Amino acid sequence: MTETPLSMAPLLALFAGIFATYLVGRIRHKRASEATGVVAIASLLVALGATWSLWTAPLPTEYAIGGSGVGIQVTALGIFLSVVACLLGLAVAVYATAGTDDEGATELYYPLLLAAVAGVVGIGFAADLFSLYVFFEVMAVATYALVPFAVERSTAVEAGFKYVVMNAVGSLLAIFGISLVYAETGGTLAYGPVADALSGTTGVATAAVLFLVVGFGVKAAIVPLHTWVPDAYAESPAGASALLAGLATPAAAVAMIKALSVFPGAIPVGLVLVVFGAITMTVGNFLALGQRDLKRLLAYSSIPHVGYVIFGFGIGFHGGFSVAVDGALFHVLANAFMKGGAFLAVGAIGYRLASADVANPRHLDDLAGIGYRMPIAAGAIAVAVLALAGVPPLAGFWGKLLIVVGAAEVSGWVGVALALLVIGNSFLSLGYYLPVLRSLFAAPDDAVGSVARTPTLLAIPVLGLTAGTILLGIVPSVGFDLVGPATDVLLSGVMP
Amino acid sequence: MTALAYAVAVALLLVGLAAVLSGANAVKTLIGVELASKGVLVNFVATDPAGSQGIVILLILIDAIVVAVLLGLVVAVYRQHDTLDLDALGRLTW
Amino acid sequence: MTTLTAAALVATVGLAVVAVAARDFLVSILSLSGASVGLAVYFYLAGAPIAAVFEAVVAAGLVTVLFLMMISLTDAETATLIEGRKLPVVGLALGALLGVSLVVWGWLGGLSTGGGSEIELAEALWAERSVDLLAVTVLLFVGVLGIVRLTAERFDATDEPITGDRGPTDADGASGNTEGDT
Repeated sequence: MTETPLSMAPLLALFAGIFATYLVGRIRHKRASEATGVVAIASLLVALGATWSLWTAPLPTEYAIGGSGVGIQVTALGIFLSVVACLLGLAVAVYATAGTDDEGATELYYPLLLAAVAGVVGIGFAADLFSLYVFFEVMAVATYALVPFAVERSTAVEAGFKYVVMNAVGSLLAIFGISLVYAETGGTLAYGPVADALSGTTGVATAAVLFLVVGFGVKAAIVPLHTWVPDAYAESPAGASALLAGLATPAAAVAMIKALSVFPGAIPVGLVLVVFGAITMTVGNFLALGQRDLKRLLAYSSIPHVGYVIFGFGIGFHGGFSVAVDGALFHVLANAFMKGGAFLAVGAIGYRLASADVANPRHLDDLAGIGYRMPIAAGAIAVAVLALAGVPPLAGFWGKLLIVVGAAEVSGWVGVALALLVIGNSFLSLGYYLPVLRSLFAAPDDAVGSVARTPTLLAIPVLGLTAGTILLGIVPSVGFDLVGPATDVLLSGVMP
Repeated sequence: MTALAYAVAVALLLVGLAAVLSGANAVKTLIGVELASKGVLVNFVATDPAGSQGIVILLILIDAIVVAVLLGLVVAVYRQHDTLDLDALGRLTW
Repeated sequence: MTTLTAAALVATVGLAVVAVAARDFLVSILSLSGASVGLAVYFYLAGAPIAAVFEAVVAAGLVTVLFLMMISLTDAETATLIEGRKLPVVGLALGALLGVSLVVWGWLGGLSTGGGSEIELAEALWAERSVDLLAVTVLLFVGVLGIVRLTAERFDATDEPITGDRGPTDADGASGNTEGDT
C-alpha cells in the first residue's frame, strides 16, 4: 500500500469548496449565484480530476495526516463512489447556478450540496468503521438542512422533521452496531483486524449485523424504514432531491455493505440482504402504482431501485457471485444518471409551470402535454423513465440484467424464482412509468400550451445526465471497467 | 463492572428509543436521541476507556451538532404550527 | 472506586428515565443535563478523563443551554419559568461544571506524572484520528449553516422579507433569476 498525499485531494478539494462557496456566496452582488456556482463547479472538477489521477495510480493507496493513525484509504470502491458523487454533484451544481433552487440563500445552498457530495466521497475512502460513520454523518447532516431548505413552506418543514428524526435514529442505531463490533474486537475498528477478530459467530456479532442493517437501512430506504422518502424527496429543492435519490440513498446502501463486509461468512448477511432487497423492491413498486404526482411518483420509485441494489449485494455475498455485485454497483452508477436527470427535469418543469396558471405543477393531469413545449425536460424524463423500467439499451437495463444473472446462478428453483422476481418487478414498474410518458405527450391545455422553454442553465445538466443514461446503455463497458475492480474490493475484503 | 456498563448502555439506548417512539412532543424526541447516543458512548468507554477517547470525543461533538440541527428544525416547526405537541401535528408521526 | 463508578452509571440511567418520564420541559432538560454529568463522572472514573471533560462541557453545558434556548423561543410558559428562576438554573449548571472540573483537575493532578501528560494524550488523540477530526470540523460548519437556514425568519404578514438578502421572492419561494431560454 503506497502512501501518497494525493489520496486526500478529492476530499480536500470538496472541503475547500464548502468554505469557498460560503464566502463567495456572501458577497452581495447581482451575479452572486453564478459566481458561487462557478466556485462549486471548480471544486467538483478538481475533485473529479484528483479521483481520475488516483484511478491511474497503483491502488490501493492511503494517507494519514501527520503520518500515523487512521487516515483514509483509496480503493477501487472509493474511486467508484467518488466518480458517481462528483459527476452527479456537477450536474446539480450547474443546475443550481440558475438560482431556481436556493430561495435566495445561495451562500447556504452550495456548501450543503458540496458537503453531501463530500460525505459520499468520504464513505468511499473511509479506512475504518468509525470513519465510515463520520463521513456518513457529514452526508446526512448536509441533507438534514437540504430537505427543509424551503423553510417558509410548512410541508417542507414537516417533511424535514420526519426525515431528520427517522434518519437520526437510524444513524444512532448504526453507530450502536459499530460500538458492538468494537466491544467484540476489544478495541479496534479497522477492517482487517475486525474481520480477523470476528471469525466466529457470536450473539453480539449477529446483533451488530442487525443494528447495522436497520441503522443504515433507514437512509437506504429499505422497507419498512422507507416512510420518510415520499415527503422528503418531494419537498426538497430539485437539485437536493436529485442528490438524495441519485446519490445519498444508494450511498447509504453501499456504506451498509462496506460495514457488513467484515463479518464472517457464518452470519447469513447475504441472506438478510436478499430478503430485505426482495421485500423492498416489490413493496416499493406497488407503492408507486397509482401515484399521480410526478415528483412523488419518482420518489416512491426510488425505493424499488435501492431494493434491486441491496438484492444484488445480497446475492453476491450469499453465494460469492460477483456478477450480482457488479450489477448492483452498475445500477448505483446508472441510477445516479437516471434519477438525477429525472428529478432535475421535473424541477425545470415545475419551475416553468409555477409561473403559469396551473393548479399543481407536478400532477400528471395538470402537466399533460408539457412535452411539446419543453421537449428537453420532458424528453429527459421519458428517457429516464424508460431506463428506470429497465428497457434496453438504456442504462437501467444492464444493472438489472447482471443482478438477474447472478440470481439465476443460485442453485435450484430458488435461483430461478429470484431471477423471475427481479424481472417481474421490472415489468411491474412499467405500470407506473408508462402513464408518465402518456401524460407528458398528451394534448396540452391552454395554460401548459403557453409555457416557455426549458431555461438553458437547467437544460445543460439535464441533457448531460440524459446523455449519460443513453451512453451507459449503449456502451456499458465504460461502467463495467469502473465497477469491476470495486466489486473485487468488496468481495475479497475491504483491506487487501 | 464492565457487564454493568454494557447493561447501562443498552438501557440508555432503550430509554432513548422509547422517548422517540412515544412521539409525545418534540422535546422528548430530541432528548431521546441524545440519551440513546450516550448509550453508544458507554459501550465504547466500557470496552477500552483510554484508547476509545478519540472516538468518544468525536462522537460527543457529532451528537451535539446533530441535536443542534434538530433543535433548529424544531424551532422551524414551531414557527409554522405554534405548538411542540406532535399529536396535534398529525403528519409528523410515523 | 468501583462502587463510585457503578453509582455514576446507575445515577445516569436514573436521571435518563426521569428525563423521559417527566411532564415538565424544564425537569426533562435538567435531568438530561444531570445524566450528562453522571456520564462524565463515569468516564473520568473509568479512565477516560479527556472524554469526561468533553462530555461535561459539551453535553452537560452546551447542549443544555441549546435546549433551554430553544424552549424559551418556543414555549412561553416554560420561558417565564426560566426567566423567573434564571439565577438558580444558571447557578446550578455552572456549579455542576465547576464541580466536575475541580474533581478532574484535582485527581489528574494527583495521578499524573506532570502537566505534560495531558498534552501528550491530547496530541496522541489528535494524531490518531486526524482525518475524522477534519471531517467533524467541516461537519460543525455544515451544521451551523443548517441551523442558520432553519432558523431564518419567515416572512411576516406585510410580505416584507426580514432576512431576505436578495429581495422578495414570489409565492412559490423561487427567486427569479434571469437565465437564457432554450
